[in-house]
Amino acid sequence: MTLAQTRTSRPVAQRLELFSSAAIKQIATALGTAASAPRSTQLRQLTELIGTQRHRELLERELSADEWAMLTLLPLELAPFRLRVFMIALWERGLNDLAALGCIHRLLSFGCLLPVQTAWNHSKLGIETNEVQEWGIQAAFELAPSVASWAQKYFASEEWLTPVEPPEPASASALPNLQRAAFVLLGELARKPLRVTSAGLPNKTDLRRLVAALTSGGPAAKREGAPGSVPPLVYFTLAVLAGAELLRLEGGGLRPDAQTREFFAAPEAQQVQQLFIGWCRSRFDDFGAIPTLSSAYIFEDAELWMIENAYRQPNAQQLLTARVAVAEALSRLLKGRPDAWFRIDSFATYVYQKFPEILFPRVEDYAIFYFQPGLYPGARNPHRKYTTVYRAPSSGSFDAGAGIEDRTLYQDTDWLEVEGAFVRQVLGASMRLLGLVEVGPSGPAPDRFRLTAMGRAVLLGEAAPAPQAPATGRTAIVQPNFEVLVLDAARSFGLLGQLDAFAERRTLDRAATYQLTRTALVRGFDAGWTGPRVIETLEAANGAPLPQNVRYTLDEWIQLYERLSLREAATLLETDGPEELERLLADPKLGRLLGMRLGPSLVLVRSAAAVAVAARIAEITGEIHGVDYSQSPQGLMRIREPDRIELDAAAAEPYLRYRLETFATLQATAGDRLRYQIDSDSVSRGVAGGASAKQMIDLLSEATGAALPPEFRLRLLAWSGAVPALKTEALVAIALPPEAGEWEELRLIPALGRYVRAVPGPRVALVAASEIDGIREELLVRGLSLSEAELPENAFQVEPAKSDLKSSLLEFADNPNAIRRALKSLGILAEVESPRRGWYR
Amino acid sequence: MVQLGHPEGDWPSAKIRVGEYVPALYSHMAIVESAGEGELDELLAAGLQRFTVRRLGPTSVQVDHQRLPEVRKLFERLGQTPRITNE
Repeated sequence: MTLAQTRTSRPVAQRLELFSSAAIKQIATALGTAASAPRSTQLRQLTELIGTQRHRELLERELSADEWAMLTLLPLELAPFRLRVFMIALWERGLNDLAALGCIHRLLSFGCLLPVQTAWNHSKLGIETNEVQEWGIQAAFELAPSVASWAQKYFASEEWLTPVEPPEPASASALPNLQRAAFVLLGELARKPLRVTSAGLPNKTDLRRLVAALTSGGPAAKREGAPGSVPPLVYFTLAVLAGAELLRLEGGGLRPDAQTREFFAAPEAQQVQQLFIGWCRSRFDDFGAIPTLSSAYIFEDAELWMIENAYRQPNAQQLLTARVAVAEALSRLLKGRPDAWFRIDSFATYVYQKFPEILFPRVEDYAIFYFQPGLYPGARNPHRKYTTVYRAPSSGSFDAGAGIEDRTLYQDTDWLEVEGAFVRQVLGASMRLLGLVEVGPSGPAPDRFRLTAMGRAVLLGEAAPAPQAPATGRTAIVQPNFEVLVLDAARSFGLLGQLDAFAERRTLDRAATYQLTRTALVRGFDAGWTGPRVIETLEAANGAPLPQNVRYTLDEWIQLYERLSLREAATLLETDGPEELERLLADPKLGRLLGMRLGPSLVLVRSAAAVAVAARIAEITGEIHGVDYSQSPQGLMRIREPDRIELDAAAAEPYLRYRLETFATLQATAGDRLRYQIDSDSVSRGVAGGASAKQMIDLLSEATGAALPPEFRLRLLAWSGAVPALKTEALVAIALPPEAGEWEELRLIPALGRYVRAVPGPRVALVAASEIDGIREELLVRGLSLSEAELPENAFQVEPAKSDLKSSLLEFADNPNAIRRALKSLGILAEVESPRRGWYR
Repeated sequence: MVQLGHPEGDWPSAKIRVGEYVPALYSHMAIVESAGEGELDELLAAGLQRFTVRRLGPTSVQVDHQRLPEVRKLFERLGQTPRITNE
């Protein structure tokens, strides 16, 4: 990432326009252009001068070394900056307010700083010190063109970094770990995306699935939800991939972008460049990963994943700026002397000196320009606490009460433990994983670093290291047992990506092993691979023809695949005969939309062209019959009790007839209808063919648009065998005369109740025929005798339940007529009486 | 008259004349195609017939699109690995 990418592209003239006329006059005077000319002339002359060699010569004459040093501050090149960066840096150098404002005034006067945004209530900016105090907090600036590169002349990297002895031993680049993680995680996420919560955090269960996949090097379908914490490498890899846009958020989940295949096939330096930019933009929490610090912000769920817009320090935007600042500092300091080892703390000191507020503000905005020093004691307290970060407790868990004094950090004395630790973390972990640096000595506290060849390529713009050719001249070995051994997996991710498409991955470590299987090969074909391309890829990797048995078997599998196809959602045009199809094929518009001919009057149509084909045929023939099998047929049939089905002849397309004829027999064609009949044999035939009673009922219900008549439905259910044999039992009904009460009361008498099987009406009980003598005796004991007789019709009449009555009254509360009708339907009222006057209010 | 929706847009209105065939456009149809007529006959005899709606040509049949899982399972049982497409 070059810093120029962060610059605005507005021309100098537009930016000068934001200065007031008085300011323009002052700048013109300082730069020796016509100060008394009209504003437009002044602006034109300044625009022509600023950024030129003449401007540079003038600055070299006028600016002091300290003023040039101000122009090498790191934030000046990262993005539009506010003047507080100068005030903080000047205070750090011991200047008071007036001297600091004077320095800023001179930089403005000599055309070094150009505004990109004015301040509230200031359409134009004056540059006198009192005016700077007014708008200083808000206005944003950029360096004038070329000023940053001129300033480098006044800057000697040796002052900051002196080479040191190489460490023994060193921790080399960890790029292979990142490449392997990226490869495995992208493969796993292609299988199943990573869900993202509404707060923007990765789903914990999915993370554990990814950890399992990373541990094994293969798919993790059987190991989802394994317990354990998520290693930083998983967060880092996911965040970098998302930052590099190799993972995209779609439908609430992170899934691989289509460009991942090209990514793995690209040269390694290009891959690292993309991952480096991804890291700069990423949500990875480099600060949270520092083991020696505890944060007052406890985001247990977030782990090392930054939540966008969350209130915390440093926030996601600050970390992005800090990462770019560290990269920019490396490129400045190590240009021309890249191969030596340097102390990490020396580099951290440089970063801090050039960007004191890289992570935390040193002073509040209001105290910078608005108040005189000392007016509000503490506003500019140099011995200021880091309010959100502490030394990590020895136990490892944050507890505000445990030795808090010892763990408190101060910005003037402890910055090397905070900002310095961040630089150490970035170099020793993130940049090492990206393959940009190596550190040493190995262990938890490396103290020196140097750029790798890859780091020099990405950060200093040197030539990319040449890829190492495999010693054997082949990247993989295809063995007679169908195993493919990739010798150096870390340098062959392009090949691994191809093998993943058509072979089963077994292991992935320094070497990777794959198994050629028919299932995997078919999966590859379904994804667009062809037989010749698979053979070509394997032979190229093998550096020789494939073992004979492997080649024969692959050819056989390829042939089997290519000789049979299953089109699951094809579009087919059928015409009245071959002549009509010939006529349609001859149509120039239609002919190019039609595909392969399957029969004399049948031709395939690409789904995307289906609407155009239908429209053109309708134009030519005036009519077309459209049938979409993804929709259920509706309203095309009628059911005639007890067992007949009538189908509109016009709708009798082949599939509907096929479905119907699996369980019904065509009896006749009458007029515009086809008549089918179901019987026990036809329905049994349907069941034997795999159709269930439910499927038959569903088809008929949808096609008729109504529930099946009871008689028809009963026959269909019974003939399909869906209804077991009905059970019968002879029961005797015993009717009580009104004088004896109701059976619900009598059955409470245990001696009687034990005989009662059911009470279908208040005065009728059913008793098993075999037990009639038993209840007869019990009734006799109580003075009641039984006489055999035919029961009257109303003996089984059920009186309305109270709940029914209540619900009717509630439903029709404001409609007396409806209440009357309901009472009548429940048998409570014999006649509907006329409403009396006065019922309505 | 049959009007059916289509994901690409609305079909032009179509009028069906009773007793007279008109061009028909079927979408979302399931079709099995083999390289040769004999091979298709073998597949039909081996169990594909059970899912076949009609023969379309010497080497192709329309199969029941609602029973595709069973068709795929049949191919698997027969050791066939067909090219499966959505077209």
